[in-house]
Amino acid sequence: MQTSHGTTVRKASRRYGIRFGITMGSYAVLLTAGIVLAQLAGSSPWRFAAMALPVPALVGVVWAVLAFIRESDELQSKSTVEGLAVAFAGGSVTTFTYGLMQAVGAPQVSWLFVWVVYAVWWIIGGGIVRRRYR
Amino acid sequence: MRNRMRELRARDGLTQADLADLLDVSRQTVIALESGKYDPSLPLAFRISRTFRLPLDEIFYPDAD
Repeated sequence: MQTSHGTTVRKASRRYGIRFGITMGSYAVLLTAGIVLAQLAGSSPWRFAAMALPVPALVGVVWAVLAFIRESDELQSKSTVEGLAVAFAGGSVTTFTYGLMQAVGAPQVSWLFVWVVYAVWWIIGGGIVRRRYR
Repeated sequence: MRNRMRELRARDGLTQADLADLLDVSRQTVIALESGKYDPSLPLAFRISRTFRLPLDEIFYPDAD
C-alpha cells in the first residue's frame, strides 16, 4: 500500500480519518438511540423524529468528504470528485432502472438500499479513477 | 503533456517521497505526474519549476503529434 507524503496531504488525510471516524461513530450511536426511542414512541408521530436522530451525523459525513476534497492536494481532490461523479452516474442509472422494473412488478425494496447502491458505485468509481492515474 | 520530472528527480538524488514532501503533494501525485497521466495546475507547475531550478519549458513539453 502506498503512503501519502507532503505535509498538507498528510494533515488532510489525518483530519479526514478523524472526522470520518467521529461522524460514523456518532451515526452508530444516534441510530441505536433512534431505534430505541422510536420503539418507545410506538405509533406516536415522535417516532419519525426519533428515526431522524442520525441525520446530523450523516450530514457530518458529507462535510468530512467535502472538507477532504478542499484540503487535499489537487490530484487527490480531482480523483475524489471523479469517483463521486462515477458514483452519482452509476447510482442514478441503477436506482432509476430498478424503479422502472418496479413499475412492472419487481419487488418493492427499502429506500435504505439506495445508499448501499451509491456506496458500491463510489467504491467502483474510486477503483476506476485509481487505475486511470496509476 | 510530457515532462522530464523523473530524470530531474534522479539528477537531484530525490526519491518520489522526497519530491512529494518538497512539492507538498502525495506520492501518488508524483507518480501520476512522472508518468504523464496527470498534468499539474499552474501553481504546482511553478513549484516544480522552483524545485528543479529550471524554467517551465525545460521541464514540460507537448506530446509529439
